[in-house]
Amino acid sequence: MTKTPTKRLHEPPAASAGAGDQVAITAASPGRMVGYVILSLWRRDMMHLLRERSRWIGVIVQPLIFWALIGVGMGGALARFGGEGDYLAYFFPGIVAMIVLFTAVFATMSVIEDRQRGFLQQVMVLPSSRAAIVLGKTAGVTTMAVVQVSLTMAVAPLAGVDLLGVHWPMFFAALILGCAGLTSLNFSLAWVVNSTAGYHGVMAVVMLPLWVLSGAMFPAGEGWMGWAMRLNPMAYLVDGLRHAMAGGFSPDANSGAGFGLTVLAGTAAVFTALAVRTVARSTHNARV
Amino acid sequence: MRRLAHQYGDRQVLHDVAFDVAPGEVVGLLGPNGSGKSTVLSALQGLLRPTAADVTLDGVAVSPGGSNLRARLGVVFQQPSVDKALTARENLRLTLHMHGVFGAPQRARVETLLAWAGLEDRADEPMKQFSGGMLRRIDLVRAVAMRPTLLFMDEPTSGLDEASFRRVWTLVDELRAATGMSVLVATHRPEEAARCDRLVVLHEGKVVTVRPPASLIEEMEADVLVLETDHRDEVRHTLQSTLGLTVRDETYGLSAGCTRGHELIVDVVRALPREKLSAISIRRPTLADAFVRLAGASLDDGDAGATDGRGEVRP
Repeated sequence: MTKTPTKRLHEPPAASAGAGDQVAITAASPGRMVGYVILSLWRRDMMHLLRERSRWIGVIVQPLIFWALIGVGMGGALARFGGEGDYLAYFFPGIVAMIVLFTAVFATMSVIEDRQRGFLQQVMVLPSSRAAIVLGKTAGVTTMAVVQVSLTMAVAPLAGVDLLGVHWPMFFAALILGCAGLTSLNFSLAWVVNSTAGYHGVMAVVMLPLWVLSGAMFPAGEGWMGWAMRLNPMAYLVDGLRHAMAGGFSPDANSGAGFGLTVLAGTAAVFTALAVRTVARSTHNARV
Repeated sequence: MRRLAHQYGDRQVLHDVAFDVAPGEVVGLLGPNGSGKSTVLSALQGLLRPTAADVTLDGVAVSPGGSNLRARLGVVFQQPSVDKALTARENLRLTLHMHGVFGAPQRARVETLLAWAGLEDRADEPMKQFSGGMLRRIDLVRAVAMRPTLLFMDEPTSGLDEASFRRVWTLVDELRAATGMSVLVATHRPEEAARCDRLVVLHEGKVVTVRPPASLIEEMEADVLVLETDHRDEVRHTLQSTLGLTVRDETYGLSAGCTRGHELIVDVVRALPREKLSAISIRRPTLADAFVRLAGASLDDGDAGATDGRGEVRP
């Protein structure tokens, strides 16, 4: 049949390709491809980190504003009722945890659209395991959090933190494990909810209350709230950061540093496994 | 592929779909939105698990959507699978990176792909500045970056204007000529279907027929009478009762197949009062008309019809 005549708008591939089309390219085996996909997704997140300046405002500046306003306000209120100590200093580890939470939330929110009509579509049909999507995203978000928190620590002396006295290995261990767990958990939620509006709802109802119950703003009390805080993985992130900022031990923390890091490692492993399972078992919401 | 079936809850959305794709062939899945085209592609890509399917690749049984099949695939999705915050070059590099292609081979391949897309001069601009047609061309060369033997395209020209449509298909034809790959394209655009070697006509999840587009057209009446009117019921009644025509509704008015349109048009004008007709014309039948004849429904009858309904582009 006669096809619709088309104007030749560029040279045909055979002519334009030149030596480039003759170059030998061999795809990696599905097993090795997992590593390449993880690395590529990490690299993509780093590109976004460097280019999207508005992200920095949302993730770093907003928590610091909260820290200043709530810290000064609550400090005044506590002093009025006879409280002692520096509330700005107490609150600072919680603000760092908030930066980690915001980084994980904003980065995983993009997964929803990305999967339906963006870059992740091509990753979903690669022959490699879809576990690579979770691991690549977790690696990217965790690196973002490390960079953003490291920069935020420049203002830590305003909260009375002695940067030379910080137990940095403990600090980064808590940061990395906590962020990996939060990212994986948020990834699973984003994947299952599969709508940006729904994800906002989950964040408001689940993640923000978890942060409030993390010991960021007040210590664990007795009764149900104390138990809720002990069962909250984010509380161990705050405790780990609090211990590390105090040089290895803080009397204000609700749990021991070693126990807290163990819990963070366990929850990171469980949430990552959950996210991998969620993605691997998922079927696309294909239109019929 | 044989016996592809899928069920959502109580609803059977694919019924024993079967077809073959020969090496180098372009096969179209033609049907309105909701006919099951995308579900067929999703099952083969591993994005959903079908209720049943027998798939063979080069004579060897493979799992539908399994890694053996996916390793041979390139996929163009309905929405371009690119990161618009990045440049075209960065997107292509990431695609190759994921397949383990680095260094000099990666750079050479990226230049080739950019040349194929005709976008070397825009390679370092963020893709959010690209038009829909440019996004499509980059998405297309991305899909063939690893020289797949089978390219899947899900409504690849959806939302594109005529010039972009032609440019994308020129590129598809050139890539196919250069690589020898087979193409499976889901579409509801008659002009897109006309570019296929064979069509799998789908309606409500069932294969109506598998034939070359030319043979579908050949079965049609010689002409289609096109009437634009604000008085559909009266005009339809007159055409059916007075002239014995089978009339169907279109978005713009009515149409009717006929054998000698140039003679019939005079009879129609005589039979109808002048004020009942806004315009009358004749055209050659299209694949949209053939689909109506085969399925008893229009390509626009789906859940999100996007074509103009006229099917005016003659294959």
